[in-house]
Amino acid sequence: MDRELVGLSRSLAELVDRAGHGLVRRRSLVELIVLATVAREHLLVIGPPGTAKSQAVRQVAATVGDRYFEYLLGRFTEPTELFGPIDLSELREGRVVVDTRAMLPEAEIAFLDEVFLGSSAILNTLLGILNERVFRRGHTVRACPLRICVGASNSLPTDPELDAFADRFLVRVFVDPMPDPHLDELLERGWEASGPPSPLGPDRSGQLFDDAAALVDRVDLTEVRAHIAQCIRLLRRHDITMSDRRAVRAQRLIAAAAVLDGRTTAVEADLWALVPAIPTAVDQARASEILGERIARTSNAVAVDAAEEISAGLSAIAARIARTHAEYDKLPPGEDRILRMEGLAREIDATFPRDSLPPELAQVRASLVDER
Amino acid sequence: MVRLTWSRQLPALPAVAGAARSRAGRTLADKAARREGVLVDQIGEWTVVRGDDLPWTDGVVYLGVMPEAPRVLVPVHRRPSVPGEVLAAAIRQRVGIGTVAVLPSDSVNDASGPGVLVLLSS
Repeated sequence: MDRELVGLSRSLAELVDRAGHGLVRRRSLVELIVLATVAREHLLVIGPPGTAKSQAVRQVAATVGDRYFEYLLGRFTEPTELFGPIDLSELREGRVVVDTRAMLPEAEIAFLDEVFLGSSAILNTLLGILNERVFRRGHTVRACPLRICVGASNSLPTDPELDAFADRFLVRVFVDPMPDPHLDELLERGWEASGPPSPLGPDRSGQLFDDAAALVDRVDLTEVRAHIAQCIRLLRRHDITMSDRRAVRAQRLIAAAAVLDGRTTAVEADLWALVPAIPTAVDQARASEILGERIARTSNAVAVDAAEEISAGLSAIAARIARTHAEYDKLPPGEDRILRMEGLAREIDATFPRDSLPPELAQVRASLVDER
Repeated sequence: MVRLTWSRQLPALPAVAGAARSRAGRTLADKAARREGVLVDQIGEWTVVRGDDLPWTDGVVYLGVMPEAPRVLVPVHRRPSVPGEVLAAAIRQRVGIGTVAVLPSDSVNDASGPGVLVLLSS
């Protein structure tokens, strides 16, 4: 394995560790942000407010020292609030020139909350930035140093007119509020980690992303391309639609997964990276089950949690519930223990059909019934 | 007439309600009464609870919303053989509007039952 590539992989792993500082159960979000950035694709995170969506992006930017821009869009947000004011002195000369200093067109990492609420003027300008990394407005045309734009929303848009814009975000991540079993850890980590993550240092900046992205272009997909096609055909047979454009671009995610793992040859162990390109949460979960052995338990040197969660599907959930039960079993008898155990029982019955309960969970469930 | 059968729903629908009968139903109702924001309906021998913080008891069937028919609740692990809109229209025709829970009328652990049980809630 190329030593420079291994060094790059280790630096990216360190980036994920530092950027994940203080975040609970959001490491996979940080990993997928890094994956998308290396693939030079954008990411859409769907989830309710207060689920650390912007914090994860902010911490990635702080760790590499990239110029960061964040904004909460609303229906009445003006283009100048994102792209910069019109230069009045130029306007007097009859030229519409935008002063983009410290605004989105000069950002390397951007986070746009409630991204689908933007006006058509905003979304049309954003399309150019997302597609071509070029900002166009009036007489201003400039290249943008944007590495990744992370859009956020409470839910996927239902207006078909937003489909084309939404499709620019290849990677989709769906986050839920912290499950009850992890609330204590959230409160503890949130209290302890009140400062920003420690940066990588000036010699390992956002250039790290550019070096990795350049390698993605050189990844050899020959060995794995037939498997990718088989996976897509299998998903389509199960009514999981992936457009031709999305399927072609998803190859960059697989190539990026290889680079993150320190390789320039993609192998079957990288196929898990196909799943985040599937547009909906339900279909992503179904895809993990349907692809099953094809994306069987894999590991990735940087995207540790994301690869494990995606490839293991229900198995990962079963393992987590069993671990949590073992922790709760140490609690003394009382209302707190009963409520926590009932929460686990609810999750088991709501997630697994009784006739296909994994053996380890069947034992857990039996003990929960006896717990009453 | 189209016979309704059931297959496995993968992954499970998010649970928005729970239903239980007999002793399990009574336990469910007791636990729901102690939780804020959980509504309880008694429909024949079935107890149906709805809300964010659903209680658990052995024997509860968790129900989820069919994405294409928001007023129809089905077991989270089961998918009916007819599209949601068709099922919703058939139910509306027979029992009127309102939120309904549709369960296989036999053991809910079987993949396909001989019929359905429709619980109508106002």
